[in-house]
Amino acid sequence: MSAFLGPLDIHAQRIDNYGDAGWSWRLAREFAYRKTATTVRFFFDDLSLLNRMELSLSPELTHQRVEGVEVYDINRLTEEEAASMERPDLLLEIFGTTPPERLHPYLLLPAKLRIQMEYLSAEPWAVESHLLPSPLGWGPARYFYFSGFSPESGGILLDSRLDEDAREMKADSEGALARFLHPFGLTSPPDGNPLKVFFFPYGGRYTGLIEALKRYKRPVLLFLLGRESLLSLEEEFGSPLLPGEIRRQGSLTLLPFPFLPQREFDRLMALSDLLFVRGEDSLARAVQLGKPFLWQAYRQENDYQLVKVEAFLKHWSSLAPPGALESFLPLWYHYNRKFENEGALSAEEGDILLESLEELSSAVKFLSHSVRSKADLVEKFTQALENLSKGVTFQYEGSAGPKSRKHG
Amino acid sequence: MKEAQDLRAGNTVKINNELFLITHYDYHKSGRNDSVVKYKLKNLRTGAPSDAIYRASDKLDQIVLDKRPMQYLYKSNDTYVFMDQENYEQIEMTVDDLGDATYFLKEEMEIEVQMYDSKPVGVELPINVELKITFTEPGNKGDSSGRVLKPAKLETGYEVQVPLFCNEGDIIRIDTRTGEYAKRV
Repeated sequence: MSAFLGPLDIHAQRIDNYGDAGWSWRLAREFAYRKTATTVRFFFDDLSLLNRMELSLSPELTHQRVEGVEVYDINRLTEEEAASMERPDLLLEIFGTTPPERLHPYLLLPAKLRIQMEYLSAEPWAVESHLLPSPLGWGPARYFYFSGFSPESGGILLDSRLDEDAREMKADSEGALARFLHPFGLTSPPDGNPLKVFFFPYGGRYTGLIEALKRYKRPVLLFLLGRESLLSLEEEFGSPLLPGEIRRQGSLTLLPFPFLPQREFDRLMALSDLLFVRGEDSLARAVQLGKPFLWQAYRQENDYQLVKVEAFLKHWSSLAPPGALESFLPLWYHYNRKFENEGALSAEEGDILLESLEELSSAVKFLSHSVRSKADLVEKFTQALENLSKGVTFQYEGSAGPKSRKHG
Repeated sequence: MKEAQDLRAGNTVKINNELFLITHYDYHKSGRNDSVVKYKLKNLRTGAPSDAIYRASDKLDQIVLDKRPMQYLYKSNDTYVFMDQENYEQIEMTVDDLGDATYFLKEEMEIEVQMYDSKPVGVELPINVELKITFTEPGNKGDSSGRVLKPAKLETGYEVQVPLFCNEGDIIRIDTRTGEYAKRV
């Protein structure tokens, strides 16, 4: 078990879609769940967005406790309220979020350490930059934290709730599937023993993939998640795909899902056999689950996402048996290069993917095992804090009660 | 105050009342948020090197040191020799003093040398320098778009990505702030 942290303040914000917010909330939940902090305070700027992912969280309240996390609406929090709160020791600022300047005297300046949490990346420069200092000459000591896949990096966020749910669903996968099919008016899959495909891409056209899925040896249930997945397939099916409206073509069944809260989204991933994931959070879930997946990286200027994909594949290849990923590499690059207007995957590539599910599955297990044993973000974060906090006296260390525990 | 992304090797910043010379600068795209810049720093009081990382938009206190116009004469082993253009005295600096600037120094180049406590501590490069390509694979004459790049070695030993149409013997302009190819001269 990791060392005790004391109180932890997490500052996050809406960046574009739900992924960053969802990841930040997941991190806060996980710190609270593992009890590596005495209190976890989560400051966020758009609780309406968070409410869609966590239904028990109210968008109306300035302060509430959800899943063991003290959640604050940073926009509503007044200077007076902030002044009356316990002063922070440790600030974790996600993806460049910083408390608003009006709250600095209460939520930033009293802290002893500020950690800037960066995006998940396997790029060598990111690994080399992990835990580098960032001295500004004012305020608390600041360091950068780079999450990643290797033991030298900051690790990936593993969600304990997802592990528990995945175990439950494995024990009763038919029942779990039936619950997801129910809103579509089905009690069981239309055809027996289907391949369950979780489809959550940024975009692209998938004529080739649909062809491959239709001619696959087993019937296929295609779970469509996110607006982009519906738009991507609209043309193939001749009319808009609407959430809740089932479509069938031969043995291929399309199930367009409405927006799912985080836990349901994760459960559906855990139930699936093949995952099309995007960005960082669903990539991390795929790795955590150890399921075969195809990743679409967040598109960046000058196709910079290819650099990230290459770094990730290089790391993965170093863990899997020699040659295990060889047949997939061109497909991964192609998929990440052409996902806007052209065919994201050809039918032949779809065939390769489907015919090699077993090999891919076994290669994913090496990656999954490696991050679970050597790159668990919460573990690595607490270890890193041990080193960074040497010579720093935290406020909680001098106080009474449970807060008086010291770093190892 | 200056944004971290606007500072370069050769600039000096003040952090916690200590002066640091930036000897190396790297810019990295981070993700959807602000990019980050990495520096190698040299403490001007102790000479100790260190690494630091910043958001591109972080503001740092830039200090302008005294500068003297000098001419770069030659390199002898790991020592770079300069001549003060006012009193003709020669001074020596090391790779540690000069950092990334060594990539762009060309004999007879006129340059500003930064002084601290009457000692030379670094140089301020011109924004652009023109250097000859000493090696690159043959180019593709048909490609004039400049979008496809290949590696090239320059007369100072520095390696840079250049468009396919550049050839050995060509003089190219390098932006010393980024270390990147700017144009063929």
